[in-house]
Amino acid sequence: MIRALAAVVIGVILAVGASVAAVNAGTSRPDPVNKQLYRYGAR
Amino acid sequence: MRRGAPYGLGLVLGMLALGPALAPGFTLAYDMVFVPDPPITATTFGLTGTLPRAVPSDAVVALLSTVLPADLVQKALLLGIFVLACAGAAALVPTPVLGARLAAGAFYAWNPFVAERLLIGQWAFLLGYAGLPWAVRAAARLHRRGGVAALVRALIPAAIGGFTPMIVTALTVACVAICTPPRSPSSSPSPLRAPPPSPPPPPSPAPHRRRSPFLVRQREDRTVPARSGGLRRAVAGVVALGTCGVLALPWLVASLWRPDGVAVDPAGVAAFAARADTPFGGVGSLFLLGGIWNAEAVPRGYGDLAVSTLRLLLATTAVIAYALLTRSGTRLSGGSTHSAECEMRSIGEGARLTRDGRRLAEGAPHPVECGGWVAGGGASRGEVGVSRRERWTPRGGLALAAGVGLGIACLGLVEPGREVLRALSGVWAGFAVLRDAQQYVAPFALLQAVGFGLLLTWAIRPRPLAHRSEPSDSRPSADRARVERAGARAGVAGDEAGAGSRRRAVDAGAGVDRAGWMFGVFGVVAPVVLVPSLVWGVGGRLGAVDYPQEWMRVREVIAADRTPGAVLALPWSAHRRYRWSAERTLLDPMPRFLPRRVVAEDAVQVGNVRLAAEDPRARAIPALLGGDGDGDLTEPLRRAGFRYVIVDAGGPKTQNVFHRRLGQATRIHDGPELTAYRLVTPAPYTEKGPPAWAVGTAFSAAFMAILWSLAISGSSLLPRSRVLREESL
Repeated sequence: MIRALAAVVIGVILAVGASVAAVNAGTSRPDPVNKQLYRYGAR
Repeated sequence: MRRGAPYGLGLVLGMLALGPALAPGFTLAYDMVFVPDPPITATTFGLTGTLPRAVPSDAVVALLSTVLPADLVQKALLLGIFVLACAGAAALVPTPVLGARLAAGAFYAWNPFVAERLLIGQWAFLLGYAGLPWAVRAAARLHRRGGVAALVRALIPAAIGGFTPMIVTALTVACVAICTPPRSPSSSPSPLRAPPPSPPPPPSPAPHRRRSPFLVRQREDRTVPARSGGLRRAVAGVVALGTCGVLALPWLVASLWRPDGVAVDPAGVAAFAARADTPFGGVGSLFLLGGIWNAEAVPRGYGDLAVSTLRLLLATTAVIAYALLTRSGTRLSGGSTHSAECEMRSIGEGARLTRDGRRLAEGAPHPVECGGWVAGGGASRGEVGVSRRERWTPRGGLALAAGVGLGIACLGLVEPGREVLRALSGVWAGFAVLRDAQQYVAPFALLQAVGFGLLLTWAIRPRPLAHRSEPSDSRPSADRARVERAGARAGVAGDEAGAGSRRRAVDAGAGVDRAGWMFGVFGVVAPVVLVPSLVWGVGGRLGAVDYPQEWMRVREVIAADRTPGAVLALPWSAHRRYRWSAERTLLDPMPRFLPRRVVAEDAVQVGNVRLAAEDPRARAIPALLGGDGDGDLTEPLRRAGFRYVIVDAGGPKTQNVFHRRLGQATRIHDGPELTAYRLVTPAPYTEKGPPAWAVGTAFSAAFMAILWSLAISGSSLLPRSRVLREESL
């Protein structure tokens, strides 16, 4: 019974976390505009 | 089903992660540069003055592309990374619970480390990362007969990947080989094993159970004099490193034999140091397997506090699980887990031969290793037993490698650490491999994956299918029914089903309650949902494009020209953002695309910091171009040995600038994406590179080592003997 409850709780946490992460990834600002055409990257 | 499931899961994860990158065309991003029909040139083998960063990966791709389209080769390699990584971690984690093994595989194949390294295009490094679990497994079995050959085979992905994956792998396998206790002296002979102590102590029978001879050997192991154990471990470490060294020869010789040596810019230490990409700082980010130096290679939405906290929880519990559940004698679920698997494997599939081909007596226990576990026998046929003494042999070695790797990665986070790295690079340029130190987190990722798998085993907690002391009728009826159904599917019935059907029953979920099933599903899903930005081409940042037709036309013209001379790639910068590649940053493809020596800028720019060039021929170009001057370049370039000049980026403005400065050259192509010029007969230029015979010998040695390992592996490519087939079990 306790394991079943634990599984349900973990499932809910995962579902909420997944929703937050997916929304966050989908609505985050796009990649920063790279005005320097030739650079490898930025820190 | 059992063996194929981790491979299948890896394939699904790979398809999910790559998404649009699997469409027809080439995936180009940062260091990931594949070209159609890649020509095989001196640069492919590291024979020019450039650092052999893509040796031998480019050579392997070029050879594979002679039989398959290069874009298919790329997709196969990228998918192969996920398949290898998932299956390798699943094979390494010491549990028979399929759900837990799949969870470990998913964790290892789907995490921030993979996402960031994929975004920055380091497919060759990821190939070595994918092979790391296999290498650990092989290093832990180095004492077995055929252990060295097995290690060679396991190192093939790292060998293809080149210098950074091989160095990270070498660090890991050396730690595992040194920390792995030598095997019991009474099994098969090995050059690394000392002779057995004699006389063996007589077994003391336990009531109701036959004493296992292997358990006696386990005890003997613990009393083997430390001097021989220490020496054997040291020898194993040397053998492991030597094996890595042989497979590293292609890039090792090409880099160490450069006439101009290796130039290291101290500014690279700060530029490539790990950085914080989560709210938990640099160390926390590395702990979560992120922390790549390049802010542009961080997946979108990564670093959100809520999700990062969940990932921190997951990583922490995985590490704790690794520490607790890999200890000797740990029982995960009433003893029906790893030891059960080992015994089932030994008694279930007719594996009744010892490794040296001797037939075991009926009912005798068979000491086997399972995912690195050394387990004692003791069960009689048909029982799922409990090993009284067991250990997961890579435990200490993997922990050591993970700790050392994490320590190296943390070095660049603080100024004193950077000073150390600069000083080391000053002493010997080879220490420059420590600059991009986040790569060394790879063994820690494997440790977390194994811990996660064990955690899931504990959570799924399958009930024992049978207890030794119980008659078979006392099994729980549901389990018994499942076992019988599995046995019936296998063509046997009832008590005759044997351990083979029991193993299939475990796969089918026998002994797992509803909560266990839920934990199993969560374990596979959790790594994915906590890094959702890896889905579908890392959030759409990877795609597939075709090279413009004008590129192909120019290559045909240049290939048809018999006059010697190099090609100069302009504008003078290492990276490009082409319109036709959706303006994704990528390394200039020209050196791989054209069938000639292409001199391109190899000094990378990180932010506003421009690092020093490494190719001696490239170092001379800025002076030749004269900064922002507008003098004619034709004659200086001809004297420097150039036959062609390509202007492939920067748009019309840049093309016009160089058009004015190359007025005396013949414009052989002028298109929207590329302009090409031909110069009159260039002056001869002697390339300063490593001697071809030395590099050729190095390639041959590595190739022969791989061929040798395959020849004695019992691989389906070559005839296999029965004894070796048993060895592979």
